[in-house]
Amino acid sequence: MERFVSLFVTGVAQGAVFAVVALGFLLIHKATGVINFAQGDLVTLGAYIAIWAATDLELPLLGAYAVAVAALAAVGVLIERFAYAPIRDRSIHVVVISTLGAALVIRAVIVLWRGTSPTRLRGPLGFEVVEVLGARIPKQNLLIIGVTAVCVAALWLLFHRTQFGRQVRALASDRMAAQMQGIRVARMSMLTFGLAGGLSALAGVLIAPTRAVTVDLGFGPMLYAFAASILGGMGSIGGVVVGALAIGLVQQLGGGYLSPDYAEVYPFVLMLLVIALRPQGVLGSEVRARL
Amino acid sequence: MLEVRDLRVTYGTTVAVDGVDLDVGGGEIVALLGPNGAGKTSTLRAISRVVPATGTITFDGEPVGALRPEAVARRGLVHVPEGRHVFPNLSVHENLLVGRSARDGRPSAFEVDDVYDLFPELVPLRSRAGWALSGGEQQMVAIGRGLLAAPRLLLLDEPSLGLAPTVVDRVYAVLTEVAGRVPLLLVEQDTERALRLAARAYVMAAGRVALSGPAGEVAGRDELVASYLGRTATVRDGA
Repeated sequence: MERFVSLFVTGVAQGAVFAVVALGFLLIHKATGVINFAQGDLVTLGAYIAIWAATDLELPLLGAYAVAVAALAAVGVLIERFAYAPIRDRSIHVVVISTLGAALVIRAVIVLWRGTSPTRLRGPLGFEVVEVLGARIPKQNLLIIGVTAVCVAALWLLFHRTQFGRQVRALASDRMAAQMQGIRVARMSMLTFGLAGGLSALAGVLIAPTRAVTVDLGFGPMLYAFAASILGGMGSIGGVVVGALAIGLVQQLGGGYLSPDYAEVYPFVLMLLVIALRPQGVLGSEVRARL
Repeated sequence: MLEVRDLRVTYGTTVAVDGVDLDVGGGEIVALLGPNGAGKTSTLRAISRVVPATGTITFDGEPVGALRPEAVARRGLVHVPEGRHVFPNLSVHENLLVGRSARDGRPSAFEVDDVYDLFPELVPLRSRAGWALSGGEQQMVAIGRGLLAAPRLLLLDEPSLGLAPTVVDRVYAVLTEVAGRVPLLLVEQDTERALRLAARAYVMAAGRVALSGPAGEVAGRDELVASYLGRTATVRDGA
């Protein structure tokens, strides 16, 4: 039982981080129709900026986290301005390649700035553990789950209770009609890139205390977040969160009970199964328009 | 209020609109008539900048021909498109609220409750998703959404298209009610209804204005019938 609880909570915490990254994917995809593959390197950059603010600037940890989130929101806007806006009317493939280019630039900047040696970011709860049904659970994992829950609730309210959220959803469903309604497409894409950048930084500072920080920190979470988005149907917050939690749980439980050697593979097997059996995703809808 | 001069719209090698001149004055209801393929919808789309065009478009003295569609809408030139384009994943109420995006600080003659008063059919459907509405319900939402944008001129494209006659009666009853408060440029294939509502009309054929004048006079002209029969040469001669 202890083993199951431990794997389960770790899986939910992993899934929660994937969910935060995937929500960034979702935001940008809804506003622009684009998948931003720089998201993973933004996660890494967020962690490095927090480390820099905590060590070089000697800011308190939460202050360092806030600096990282604010800085990454600004970086998100810069990516929108330089890697998306100038080519927004080009083919979607061109735009996606451009986000990959932005990812490479960010990665190069991190290496030039901080080098390639692994480093660490301490968490606000250190290495404290709490016992749950006999299992020793790192408090950082519970923090990740709690922060993600707040984040998901805030985003849900943003999407469903504010004019900004309604405009993003309108833009996602019918770009031309949204423009005819006076929705400022350029401003919306800037705001969503900025928000997604902030979410990436949040994912970075949540996950960094659980492992060594290297330039590859965000790459894995980005791949799993992408798989989670596909799993959830890339349409709704609920779908993305369910997809991300499923990915985290499959990875941990599969690794714990089947074979740890294939822990990285199980989520993608699940993704392929869903694509084959339910292409619209777990919570996606097949028919969304009446002719 | 709206002045369009020498408007041309092309799709590849096809000329959809070929040198159209058109005016709508303040407080006017103007109908843009003609058969399928005459260029009416393209004209409206060019005015709202959804499709590229050449020529000049001036709205209240300001050139709008180089603006983005959202900037045109924010100046009060609001387009209710053919096919309704209700946001499928938003509820009826959310669709209406999104309509307020184009106000840009302009006072509005209509609030959400006024739209529900105009279309009480929508009240029980407030929470229903756009994709689950019938064509008539979608048309009501689209018109309501347009009214909530505080339009200084409403471009209305084929409001009766594909609707049952009773629903068309409802839609036109509301348009008649709002006509005194919002100027309209109305594209319509149902010429009889459009000419009853409008003060003036333009008739298009093969991308050009074949006939224009007061609605009462246009209604009786042979050229109107001719344009629908594809006798464009006759129409041009008669215009």
